[in-house]
Amino acid sequence: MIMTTLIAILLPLTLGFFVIALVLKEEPETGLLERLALAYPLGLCFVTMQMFLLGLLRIPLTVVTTTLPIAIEILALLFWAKRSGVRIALKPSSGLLREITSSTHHWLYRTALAVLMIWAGVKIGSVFLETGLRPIFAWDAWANWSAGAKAFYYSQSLLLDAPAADFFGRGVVSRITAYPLHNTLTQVWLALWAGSFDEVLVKFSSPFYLLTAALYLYAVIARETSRIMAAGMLVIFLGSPLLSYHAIELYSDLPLGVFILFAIGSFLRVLRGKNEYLLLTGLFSAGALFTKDEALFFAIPLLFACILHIGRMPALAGTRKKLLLQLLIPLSLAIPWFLFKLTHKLTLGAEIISFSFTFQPDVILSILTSFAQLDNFNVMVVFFGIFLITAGKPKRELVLILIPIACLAAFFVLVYSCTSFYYETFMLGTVLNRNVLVFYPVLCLLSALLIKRILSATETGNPVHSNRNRKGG
Amino acid sequence: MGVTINTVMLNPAMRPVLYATIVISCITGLLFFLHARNRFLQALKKSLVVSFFASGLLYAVHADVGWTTWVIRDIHAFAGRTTDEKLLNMEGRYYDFVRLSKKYLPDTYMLYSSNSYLALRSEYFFLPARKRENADVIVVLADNEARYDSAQRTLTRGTVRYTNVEPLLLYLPDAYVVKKQ
Repeated sequence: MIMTTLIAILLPLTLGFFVIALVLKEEPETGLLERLALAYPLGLCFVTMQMFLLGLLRIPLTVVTTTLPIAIEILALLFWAKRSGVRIALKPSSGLLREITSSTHHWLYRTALAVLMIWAGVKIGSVFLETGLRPIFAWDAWANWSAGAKAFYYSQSLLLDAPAADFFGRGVVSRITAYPLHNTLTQVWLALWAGSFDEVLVKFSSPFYLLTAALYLYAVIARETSRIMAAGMLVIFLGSPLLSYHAIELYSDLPLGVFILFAIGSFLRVLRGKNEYLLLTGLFSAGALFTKDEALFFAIPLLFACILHIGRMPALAGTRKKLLLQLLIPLSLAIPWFLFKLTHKLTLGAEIISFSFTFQPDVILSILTSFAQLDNFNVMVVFFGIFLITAGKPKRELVLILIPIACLAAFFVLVYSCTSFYYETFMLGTVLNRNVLVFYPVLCLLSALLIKRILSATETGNPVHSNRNRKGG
Repeated sequence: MGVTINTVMLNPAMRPVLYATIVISCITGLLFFLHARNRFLQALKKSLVVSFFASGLLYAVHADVGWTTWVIRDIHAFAGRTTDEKLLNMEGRYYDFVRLSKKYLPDTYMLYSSNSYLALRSEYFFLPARKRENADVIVVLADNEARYDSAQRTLTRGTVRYTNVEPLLLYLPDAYVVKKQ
């Protein structure tokens, strides 16, 4: 069963990797590590979206029916890559090892780098170990996400032909039918390959999300700044207790956080002239939309930011239509889900939420107080705010990146402070930190970029003695 | 009952330690960078970065010690066991009843329980069998009202009374499975 679970992980990884290879082609800056990190959620997103379509077509969800399209796609992509001469197998970089073993750096630097990397490696390993030890135990994981997955797995369908009371898994434990299906169908996919709904094995998608986020953050920060800073940021990132616990359970907040990280990371590359990343921006946004409803308040502003960028760059004048299509076509992968929601009168968010309005601005103070307590997210959230202020006037690039993030954050604050459901019934303590977890990976990336900006600004600024000399001279 | 991971509180004793680290490392960094002839604002910004890494790594040490303790405890509790044994270890005797009763459940069953958590958790474990209002097999689990008289073969719950009820599994006085005739 472990071997088949491994295949269930490797198949989407391979599919995603081939897609990345064909999109990025020989793009030199994106190394093997980064491509592998991007590949897993992307491939898994394709798998679950196709399972949803199979379910809509009333095709039984079995290993054969769900794997066949994936296998065909992998072969087709391989054929396409061969025909177009795209090199898929990239040489892994040995830069880290060289930096640790070379004598060009001080021994203290090399020791620190090695210790930090081992620390991060052991932490990620322990998350995998813990995932394998403990069966599903967290309430929302089993009562909602896994309950739906079990119902779909045993019926080999999305229960679309069931009586009204059971339609689409309605009434199964505490399943919320309005929630997107990525998490649920990922579990079905793993269970199909495991041959049974094993309460341990179906969890193994979660630690891979953590691993991909960690690899990506390390690769990008190392490229942007230095390996030692990337290793330090990685250890701090992994030092979030809430992240660790979510990485061993079947919540959807971490996957959404990873999709947001990758969408923003791809958009960042677009802003730096790598237009091929526009397609990935759209794909990861579609993945986010298929993971949690609130992603709508991220994807729409991101689309707006992309259009703003494409529209305002004179260099892109001749290719605007093509670039827009590169963004909109992958984003449209989320359309079947929203059409399904619309046609079956599924609400945005849980059915139990009642939107009676109130105005409670004190919620904002509660949120800030909660951040100051330093629970859950290491010191990242607090320092992100500090870095944002101290980095000075933000560049156009940062402003465009902050648009979707700020919009999603504003959406949450509005929901908390303006709906009596969240203020009175649900309580901030239940939702706040899980929602912040969605931002946590991208905050880590942005903090690194802000640190880079702060340090480069201080390095390029004239040192005091030169000014003194000038004055003196 | 039931566990949900909404927040992981920081040990209150750790909070002042972290804030002290932030302040001390910031001041130390500031003095160092000023000594290295940086302008005040430049020195302050650099010292904030130092402060971030100092406090962040300290936090990570603290968090990872807690995490490791948990993992070690779980290694002792779960390592080398099958998933079923792990569930038994995690949920206790209640899960033993659930897994035994599952053998007697057809597609549908009724569930009597006063404990909402246990009821919901059982519903989850009983899948693909579904809970219904009128099924022949009745699972009784920690219910304050239901009483089964094995001699008379009657099950009563409030005003409801079933006669000629066949016992399928009598696990405990408040945990059993019966079948209406």
